[in-house]
This record gives sequence, structure tokens and C-alpha cells, in this order.
Amino acid sequence: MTLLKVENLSVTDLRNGERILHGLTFSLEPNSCLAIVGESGSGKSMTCKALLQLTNPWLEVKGSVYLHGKEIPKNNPNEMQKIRGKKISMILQDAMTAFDPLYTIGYQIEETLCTNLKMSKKAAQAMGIEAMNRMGIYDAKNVIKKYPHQLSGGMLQRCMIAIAMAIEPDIMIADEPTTALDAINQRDVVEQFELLQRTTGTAILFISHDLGVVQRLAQKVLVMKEGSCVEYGDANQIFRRPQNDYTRYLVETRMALSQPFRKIMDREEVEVVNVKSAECI
Amino acid sequence: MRNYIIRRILLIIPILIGISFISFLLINLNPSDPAEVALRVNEIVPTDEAVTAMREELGLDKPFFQRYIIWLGNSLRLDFGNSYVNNKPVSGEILNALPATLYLAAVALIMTLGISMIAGILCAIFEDSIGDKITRGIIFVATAMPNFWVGLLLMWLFAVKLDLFPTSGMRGFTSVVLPATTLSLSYIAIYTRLIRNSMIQNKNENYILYGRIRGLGNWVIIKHILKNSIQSSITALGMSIPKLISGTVIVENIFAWPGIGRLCVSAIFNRDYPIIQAYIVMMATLFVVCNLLVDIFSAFLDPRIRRMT
Amino acid sequence: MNVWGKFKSSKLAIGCLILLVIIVLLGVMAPLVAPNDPVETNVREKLSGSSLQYPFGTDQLGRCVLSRLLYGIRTTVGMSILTMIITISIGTILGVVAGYFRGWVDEMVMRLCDVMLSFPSEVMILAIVGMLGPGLENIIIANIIAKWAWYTRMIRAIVVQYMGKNYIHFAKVVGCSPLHIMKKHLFPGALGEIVVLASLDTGTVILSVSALSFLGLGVQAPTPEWGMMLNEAKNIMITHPTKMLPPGIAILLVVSAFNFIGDKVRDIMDPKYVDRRVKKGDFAKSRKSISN
Repeated sequence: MTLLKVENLSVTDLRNGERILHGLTFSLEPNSCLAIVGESGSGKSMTCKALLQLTNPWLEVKGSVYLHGKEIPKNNPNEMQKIRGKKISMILQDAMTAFDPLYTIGYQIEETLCTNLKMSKKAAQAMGIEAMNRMGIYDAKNVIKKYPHQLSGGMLQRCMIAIAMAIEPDIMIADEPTTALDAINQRDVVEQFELLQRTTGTAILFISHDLGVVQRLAQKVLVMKEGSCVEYGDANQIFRRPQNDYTRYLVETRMALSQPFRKIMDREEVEVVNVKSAECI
Repeated sequence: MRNYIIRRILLIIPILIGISFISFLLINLNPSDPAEVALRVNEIVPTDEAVTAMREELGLDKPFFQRYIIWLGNSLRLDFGNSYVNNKPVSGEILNALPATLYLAAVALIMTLGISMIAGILCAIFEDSIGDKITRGIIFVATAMPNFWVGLLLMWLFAVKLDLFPTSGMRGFTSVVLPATTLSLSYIAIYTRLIRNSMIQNKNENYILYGRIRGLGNWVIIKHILKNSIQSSITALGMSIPKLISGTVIVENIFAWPGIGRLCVSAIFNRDYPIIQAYIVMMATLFVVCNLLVDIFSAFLDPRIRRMT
Repeated sequence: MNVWGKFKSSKLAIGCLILLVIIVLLGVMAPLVAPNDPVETNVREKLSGSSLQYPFGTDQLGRCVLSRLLYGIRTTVGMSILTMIITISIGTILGVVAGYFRGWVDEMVMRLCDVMLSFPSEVMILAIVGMLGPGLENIIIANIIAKWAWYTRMIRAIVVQYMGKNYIHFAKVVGCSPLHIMKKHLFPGALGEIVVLASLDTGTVILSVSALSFLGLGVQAPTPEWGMMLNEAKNIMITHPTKMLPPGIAILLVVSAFNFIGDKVRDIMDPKYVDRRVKKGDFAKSRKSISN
């Protein structure tokens, strides 16, 4: 059964009648990864917020979202709140502002786990530390005592993923998780997602404008432009034989950027050693 | 943190000196001769010899800076001289009147903080609802109303017409209700708006969005917003204390409340300069010190500053 | 500039502005408009209700309330506006001098501002009135002394900001006097902030002037002034409570109008005003609103 089915999702700004999302339709199978790509401003983040019913009050969301075959009701905030975090989790792009600056990371991880998994504080703390270890944060016991401003963006990003992994949601939405990171961290994050999929079978909705990362993770791709879907289908097909002009433009631009680099690398004929991420943080 | 405190304390020392200097300057700028006034008030004919003698007695014949230093030394010992009116020590007069003002200010403070926090929080939670809009309208009108008018209207309605409260004086608990209400009204308006705006601003922050993404319940989210809002409002809220204490002048006048505000106004009418001077120095110092304490407290609560070395 | 355009679009703001203009005109033309002489007493007609000759009735000395209100505009509103003009002028001069010359002049002025600003304004005003004695001129002087530091600081900040930006241009542009650049660039930027502060402050000054007059520290009888009228009405509260209404409502209306205009201009000048539809990271909407 399709894990997530979205039908005709549209968002309108009630203040000026402007259409922000136009009738998006896509689906997500269990244990797979769907990538949503497009330029900045194409409506990718808005789609995620609409899915989780976290849009601003002046935005009207229309369309149906089916989770496990059952439609998510639109006017039942309690129901939605139960789904958020537990069944559908999300990672934000800007990790540095994602945590409350007045509480320690440990407290915020605990409160998330306690709310969603209904466990005691001690159990939650232990689980949090274990999840952080799995993410490669080895002195988790110290990290949880720190405040957000004391940690780096990469570390906070990993904490967010750790929380998500600990809860083991059905769907994980990742909103441009690699955009704010450098290449090494980017590769780390991508590997974490692969690990996540392998171990928990979580389906991933991966938002990005970085085609290189998308191509490695996703089986299906949804290409967005100015709030509408321009192409939707199998990842390999879209990259190799894009039907839509815009998709072709995106792919070719990306190729144009990475080809010279590849040429240089080929000419060097040096084997690029696969340097595993060092365990120093 | 300790360095922060030390730095802040060092910063206010020049300000305190500046305040004392300006206060002293102000006193000496008054056009009338204090010696003459002192004599006149005590019903002594100000003949030339009497004036000269009085000037010597009051120490007015010494050079400016010397007088300043003497005055500063005395002030630090809380010796502000004697009242021109009844020749009693100024510090005594002020200490007599102070408790009434502090009592009034305390009741007003409780009313202000209580009502403005509740109203501010409710308005932020139910943003743009009918209640929010009505409250905003009330706040707008309240900040434009002269508080002496409000006091008079309240007095007429509750004391004269309905006879629920006394119109003046300080007797028993009912007598403090009307003055405290009048005093706190404009501050309630200001602080409700402050808390409401602060909460709305924090409501739209990224970490609240992520909190809701994580599935946190409504009460938990409100707790997060509230803590951040109070954190950013604490300086303003803390400064309400000195503002209330110094803002009692009108209210004490209307309701014949025996506090330092009324003392100061009658001192102005009587040209009783030592009392006026002591009042200014006290109030200004109170403001500066309160500001310092509140800043330090706010920094202490903020983990971003607390952990700064 | 855009600010005026946006301001015009709010009917309430334009309404307030028109109201204030009307009030000022009424005050200026008071001798022509008032039905009676404001200080002429008529003890036989004292405390009467509204009639054809006395539209708002008479006070306890038989003076026409409406006439006193109209003449009172000159005192209450007129003197407050005068106070603001002088305060802003002093603030501008000192701010420009401090910002332009920098160095020890700047330091001195700023330190002085710091000390003045750490005095709460009510206390400062009471202090000066206390020293100089009661009287209308003294309250005006008190308000000016209490408030000049705000404007000095603000204007100096703007001057410094623009000096930093345009200094290179000064050197390059020959024959283009600094005065011209100041007029073209400093003024528009500064004007908006001054308007906000001035309109909100005028309300405060009106309240302060009327409060001090209410206490008896301001105008002396028989000059008509709204605060003083409330003080007189206080004495007959028990028998004629309605006499408390006209001056109070007058103050309320004028201060509300000033506050509303100040709030509106401040909201317009807030960069978040235009971008209220733009959320963090949502580029599509911001692109659309810019092209609007």
C-alpha cells in the first residue's frame, strides 16, 4: 500500500488571492526516497509545511493527503499533532535557529522523545545519547548539557537527524539538509540518510536543489517550478531522458558545472581514496 | 559573567557622578537666593545682615566645587540638609513619606504585572481575534488618556456615585484601590502591548516551527514562547518598578495620598529646595541602580551571556 | 517618497491628520471662532448647561467652556508643538555637530546625552519646574531640557551613518558641497525617524503640560488650558461631574491623533511592513511582492 499519497495539493494566499502551489499530486512508497527538486522559491518548503499543516493562518490549503491509505483530516489539530514527529518527521534547513536558545539540547531531545514515544525522562535521555552515538557524536553525554549557541551548525543538524532516527517515523522529510553545509559534511549527511533507510526502513522525502545529492539517494523525482509540478517519475529516467524543457535545463546546468571538474579529475588519473569521515568532530 | 557584572558596575559610576553633578547644578540655577527664601519662610525679615549670616550658615559663600564636594559627601551619608519649611531634616521627611508611596507602588506593580501578563499572553495566543482587537483598541485609548482624568473619573464613579471606595487618604485596604488602579492603568497598557508583541514575534521564530514539527503539544509550545518573551521583556518589566515609584506624583495629588510625590509637589510650591533636590537625586539614582540590577538579572537568565567568560 | 503614498492609503491616518490640522486652525483662529470671551466671567450664569450662547455650558466662574476649550488649543497644543520644534532644532544642531566633527566634541556631547537620558523624564521635568518655579515658560523649558538628548542621539547616529557612506563621495565629487549631499540623503532618512519620534513625543508633551497645569505648576489663572480646566472641574465634581468631560475628551482626541499618526508612520517605515507576506526562505513570494 502506498505510504503517502498526495492529491491535488494547492495553497492560496487569502490576502491577495495569489496561488502558491498548484495542484501537486505525488506518492511515496515505503522504504523509498522521493526527491523534490527545483530552484529556490519554487515552493518546495511550502509543500512540506502544507503536508504538516504548519502553514501561516492566511494561507488556505486544499487537496487531500493520505497516510497509510487514510486521509489526514484538515480541521483536527490534535490528530495532526499526533502525526507530526511520530509518523512524519522533518529536518529543517537552518539548524542553528531550530532549537530554543534558552534550553539545553538534552532537554529538547528529551521532551521530543517523551512526547512522541511516551517514555520516562531517563529512558528518553538514554535513547537520545544512543541515537547521537549512531550519528557519530561520541561525547554525547557532554553535548546534551550544552546550549544551542555552543554547538556548530553541523552538530545541530546531526542532532536533528538523531532525534528523527530515534523516533523511527514512517516518513522523514529533509528540507535542504545539505545546502548550508560544506562538501565533507554534505557527504556525511547523505550517508546518515542512507544509514537511516537501511536500518529503519523510513521513507524519505528529500528536498533539494542539489541534483548531485538527489541522484545518489532518490528513486523517484518530482520537479517543481513556480509552485507547479513539471515532471514526476523515475529518477534515472528523469536525469537521463528528461521530458520537460525545464528539467532538461536543470540537468544540463548541473552537468555543465560538474563536467569540467570531472575532466580535471580524469586527467589526473589519481585514484581518489575514499577517506572515511574522521572521528574528530 | 563576573566580568560582565564588573564592567556594568564600572560603567554606571561616571553616570552616577554625572547625575549628582547635574542635580547640584540644577539646585544652584534657581533664580531666587536660597538664603533669602530660607529667611522668608521662617518669617524672618531678610535684612542684609540676616541674609549674609544665613548664607554663611548654609555654606553658600564657599566656591562652587567646594560646595559640590561637601554636598556630595553629605548626600552619600544621606544627609540632605534641613527643610526650608519646617527646618526638619530632609531625609527624615522623605523617610516618613516613603512607605506610603512604596505601598501604593507595590499594589500597582502587582496589578500591572498580573493583568498585563495575562492579557498579553491571551492576545498573543488568540492573535487577531475579536478579543485581541478590542484589547488593542483599549490599549491605544488608554495610552492617550491623561491619567489625572482617569483618576478623577474613577473617583467620581466609584467613590462619589457608588460610594464603594474612599475619595482620599490612606486608611485601610479600600483606600488604595482607586489610586493603584489609576497609577497602573497606563503601565498595564504599555506592558500588555510589549508582552503581546514579544510573544507574537517569538511565535514566528524557527525554533517554534521546529517544536511543532517535533510534535510538541500546544502547552509546551506556549511555554517555550513565554520563556523567550519574558527573557526579552525582563528589562522593561523590571524598569516598571522605578517608574511606578516616581510616577505617583499625580495620583498622590488627586487622592491626597501621603507619599513622596505629594511631598515633592508641595515642596515645589513652597520653594523648599532641599526636599526637591533630595527627591531628584533619590529618583535618578533609583533608576540607574534598578536598570543595572535588571540588566544583570536578565543577563544571568540568558545562557548565551551567562556562559560568556 | 513611498512613505507618504502608503500613509495616504490609510483612511484613518489621513483622518487623524485632517483632525489635527482642523484643531490647529481652530486654535489659530480662536478669536474668530469662539462664541465668547474665554476669560470673561459671568457669575450669574455659572455652571449652566448647554445653551445657544454657551454651547458647552459655563464653568464655575461663568466662563464659556467652549471658548475656553478653543483658546486652550493655543496653550495646550500650541505650546506643545512649539516645545517640540525647539527640542528638535536643538537636537538637530547638536546631533549634526557631534556627528560631523566627531572627536572630542562628539565624545562630550554623547556623554552628556548619556547622563541626561539616565534621568527619568518626569523627574527631570519636576526638578526643573521645581527650580524655576511654576509657570508656562518654565514647563516648556523643562520639557525641552528633558527631551533634547533623544533627538541629539538619533540625529547624530544618522549623520555618522551617512558620513561613513558618503565620505568617499565627498572626496571625489568636486564642487558638490556637503550641504547638498546632506540635504539630498540625510534629510529623507532622518525625516521619517524624526516624524515618528516627534508625533509620539508631542502626545507625551501635551500630557505632561496638561498634567503640570493640573497640579497648578503650569499656567496661571485665568489663562485657558485644558489641564487647568480639569483642575477646576475637580472641585465641583460632586455637583457637576459633566464639567470634567470636555477638557478630558479634548486631550484624549488630540493625543490619540498624534499617537496614531506616529504609530502608522513607524509601521510603514519598518522594513517588515512591505515584506509581511515574505517568510523566511520563501523566495517565490518575495520575488512576486518586489515586482509588485
